[in-house]
Amino acid sequence: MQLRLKNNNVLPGFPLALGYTVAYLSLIVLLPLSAVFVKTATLSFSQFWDIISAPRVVASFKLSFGASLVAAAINTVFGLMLAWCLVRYRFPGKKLVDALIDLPFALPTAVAGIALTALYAPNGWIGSLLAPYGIKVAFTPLGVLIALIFIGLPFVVRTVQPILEDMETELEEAASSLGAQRWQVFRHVVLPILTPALLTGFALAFARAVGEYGSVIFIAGNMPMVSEIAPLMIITKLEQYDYAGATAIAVAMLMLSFILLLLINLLQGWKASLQTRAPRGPA
Amino acid sequence: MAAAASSLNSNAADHYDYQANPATREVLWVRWIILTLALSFFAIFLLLPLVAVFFEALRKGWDTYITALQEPDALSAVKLTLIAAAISVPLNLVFGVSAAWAIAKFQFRGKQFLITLIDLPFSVSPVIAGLIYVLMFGAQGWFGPWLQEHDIKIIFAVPGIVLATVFVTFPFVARELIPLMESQGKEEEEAATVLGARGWQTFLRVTLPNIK
Amino acid sequence: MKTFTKLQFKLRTLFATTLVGSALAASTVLAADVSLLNVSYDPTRELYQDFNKAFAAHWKAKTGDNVTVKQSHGGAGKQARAVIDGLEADVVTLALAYDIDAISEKAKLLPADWQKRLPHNSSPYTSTIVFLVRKGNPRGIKDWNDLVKPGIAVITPNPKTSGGARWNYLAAWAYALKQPGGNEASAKDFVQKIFANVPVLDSGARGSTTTFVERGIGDVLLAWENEAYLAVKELGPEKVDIVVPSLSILAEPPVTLVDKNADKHGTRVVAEAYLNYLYSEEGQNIAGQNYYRPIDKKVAAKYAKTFAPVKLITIDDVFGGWQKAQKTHFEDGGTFDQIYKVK
Repeated sequence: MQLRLKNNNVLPGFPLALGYTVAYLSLIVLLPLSAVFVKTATLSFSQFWDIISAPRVVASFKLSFGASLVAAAINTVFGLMLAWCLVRYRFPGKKLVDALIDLPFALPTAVAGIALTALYAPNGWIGSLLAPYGIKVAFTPLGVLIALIFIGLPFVVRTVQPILEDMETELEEAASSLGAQRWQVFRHVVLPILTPALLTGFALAFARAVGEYGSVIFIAGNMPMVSEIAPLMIITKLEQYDYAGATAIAVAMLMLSFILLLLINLLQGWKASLQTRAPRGPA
Repeated sequence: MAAAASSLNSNAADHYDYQANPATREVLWVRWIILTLALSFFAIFLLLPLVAVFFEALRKGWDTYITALQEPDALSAVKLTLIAAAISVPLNLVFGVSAAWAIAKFQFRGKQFLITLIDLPFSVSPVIAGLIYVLMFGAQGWFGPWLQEHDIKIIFAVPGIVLATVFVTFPFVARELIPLMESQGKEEEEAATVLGARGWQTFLRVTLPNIK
Repeated sequence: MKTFTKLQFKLRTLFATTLVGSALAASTVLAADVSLLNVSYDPTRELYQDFNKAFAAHWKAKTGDNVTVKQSHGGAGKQARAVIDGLEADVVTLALAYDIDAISEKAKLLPADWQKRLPHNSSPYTSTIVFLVRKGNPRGIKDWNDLVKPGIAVITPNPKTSGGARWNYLAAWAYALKQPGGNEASAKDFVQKIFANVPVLDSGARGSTTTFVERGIGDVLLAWENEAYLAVKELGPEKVDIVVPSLSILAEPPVTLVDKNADKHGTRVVAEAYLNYLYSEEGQNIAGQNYYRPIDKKVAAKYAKTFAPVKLITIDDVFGGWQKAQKTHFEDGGTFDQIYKVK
C-alpha cells in the first residue's frame, strides 16, 4: 500500500495518526485474521476449491450474502426515513424511538433470535396473522432476512443521523430561494450530501449481517440447500474436527466480504470526493 | 457511547424547528407519509421484536429471571462483560479518533482500502472470531504450547474475552467518527493551525469539541 | 493499554494469594478447598446440579475437604473442542464416545483406551431415544414407520451439529435395518423419507425442544428420553405424551478423567472419586431421578416403572462403533449428506 499525501495539507499529525492506526489495525485485526489464512494454506488448492464449491456451501453463501445485501438495502431506505424523522420532525415518542434504535446492538444475539422466532413462528403474533395466507417466515430464508433487517437497522440510522444534524440549512435555503421545488432540493442538494453516509451505513449493515450467527440460527430452520447460513457451515466443519475445512470457508467468506465492502467504500469515496469538490470549490 | 453522543446532538437539533423554515419544510402530506412509513417500519421490525423479548422474559416469570441473574455464573458473566467493555472501549476510542483524523482530514492513496480493513471485523462472524483465537492461543494453536508452559491462560479466560470484545467492537468508533469529521471539513483546524496553534492544541480545542 | 496491565497485575496478585492461601490451608491440615471442572453436554444440566451437591456432601463427610464442582454445558462437540483447545476440564461427561476419542487423539490429554477404565464402557447411566407427541397422540404415532407417512412433521436437530441428533438418526437407521428384508439401501431410503418430513433442523437438542413445545411446530419430536421426561414435567402431562418405539438405540454417554489436566491441578484423587461416585448407589439414584437409566440392576429396578421396556440395539453391534458410524453417516459426503443431495 503506497501512502502519499496528494495535496499540501497544513494540518499536523498525519504520520502519527496513520502510523498508530495501521499498527493497531495490524495487531488487533490483521494478525489474528492471518491465522485462518495460514491454517487454510495446509490444504492444496483443489482441496480448498472442493470445500468451498460444494453445493451446500455455495447455497449457504448465496443465502448469507444475498439476504445481507437485500436487508442492507431495505435498511438504507427506511434507515434514512427514520433518521430524517428523528432530526427534522417533532412527534410524540421521538425520544423513545431514538433510544430504542440502538437496542438490537446491545441485545445478546441469541435473545434477539429467540424473540424473533417466537414472533414469526406460525403460532406467534405476526406468524399467526400471516399463516392463513400461506406465508411462512420463521424457518425460511424470509426469516433470515427479517433477522438481518433487525440487527442492521441501527447502523444506517446512526451513520446518517449525525450528518443530517450537522447539515447547514443555508444550502437548502439558497436552493429554494433560487426557485427549486422541495423534491428537487432534496434530490440535488440534500441527497448528495447524505450519500456517503448512506453508503457507509449500507456497508456496515451489510457487513454485520454477513457474519451474524446468534440471532439468525434460531429463525433460519437450517435446512440444507435452503436455509443454512454460511457461518453454520463453519460450525458443521468444526463439529467434525475439520479445522482446515472450517478455515477454508472462513477465508472464502472473508475474501467475498472484503471485495464487496471495498467496492462499496470506493463508491463512497468517489461520491464523497465529488461532493467536497463541487460545493466547496471556488466558483 | 455513540448513542449518548447522538442523543446529545439531537437535543441540540431539537432547538431548531425545521418545519418552521420554509426552505426546509415538507408539505404536510409528505411529512405524514414519511412519518407513517418510517414509524411503521420501526414498529414492525424493531419495536415488536423488542416487546417480544420482554414478553419471553416475562412469561418465564421475572423470578426465574432474577434468580438467573443471582446465580454466581451469571454474576461473573456480567462482571466479565463489564471488564471487557472497560478495557475495549478506551482502546477502541483512541484508535477510532486517530483513524478518523488520518482518514477524514487527509487525502492519501489506499484510503478506501484502509477503511475496508477497518470495516472487516464487522463482517467477521463471531464463529470465525472464536476460531481465530483458538488457532492462535488454543492449546493446539501457534502460541498454545508456550502459553501452557508459562501457565498463561488466554482463551476460556478473561484476556480471551477482552481480546474478542476489542476485535468485534473495533470499527465502531472509527466508523461513526469518519463521516462526521469528513462532513465537518477541515477549515476550522486549518484556521487554528494557520493562526499558530500547535498540533495538539488544534486537536484538543477544535476537533475534540466538534465530535463529542 | 494501562488498564490491561493493571488488570493482569490484579489477576496475578489474586492468583498468588489463592496459591499462598491454599498452601497455608494444606500445611495446617485444615479443610482444604478443592475445585473440579466438569465439562458436559446440554441435557445433563439438571443431573449434575443434583449430583454435585451430593458429591460435595459425601466428600466433606469422608475427607473433611470442601469440593466445589464447576459445570460447563453446551453442545457435545463444542465442549470437546473447548477441552482440546485448552479448557482445563478435570473430568468430561459427554454424549458420545466419539467426542472423548477426539480429545484423546487431538490433544493427547488422556490415554486412547480411556473407555476401558470404568465399568460398563465408562457409562454410569444410559439413555435412549423416544418420541414426544402432542397430548392424546392425535396423529397416532406408535413407531418409527409412522414417521415416514406423508403429512407427519418430525422435529429433530441437525445431526451435523448435534450429538443427540446423531443418536436419532442411527436409531431410525437401525429400525429399518431390523425390518424383514432390511438392508443398507432400504435403511437409507427410510431415513431419507423421515428427513423429508423434517421442516426445521435446529442446531441443538434444546433448540428442537423449544421449536416443538413453544413454537408448536411438528407432530413428533425425537428426543433424549430424559429430555422428554423433563419436558413432560415442566409442561405438565396435559400438553404432551411420550411414545416409546418398538426399537431404539442404547445411548451410553461416557464419563472420564482428563489425566493431564487433573495431574496439573493435583486433583486426580478427588476427580476419580467423583466419577466413581456416579456408580455408587446414591449416584445411581440421582441418575434415575433425573430420568437417566441407572446401570446398577438394584437401583434400576426402583425406576423400572418410569422406563418403558424397549428393545435396545447398540452402536457397537449395529454400526461397528462410533468412529465408523461417524465416518459412514455424518462426515462430509456421508449418508446424511447423500439423502439431501438426492432430493
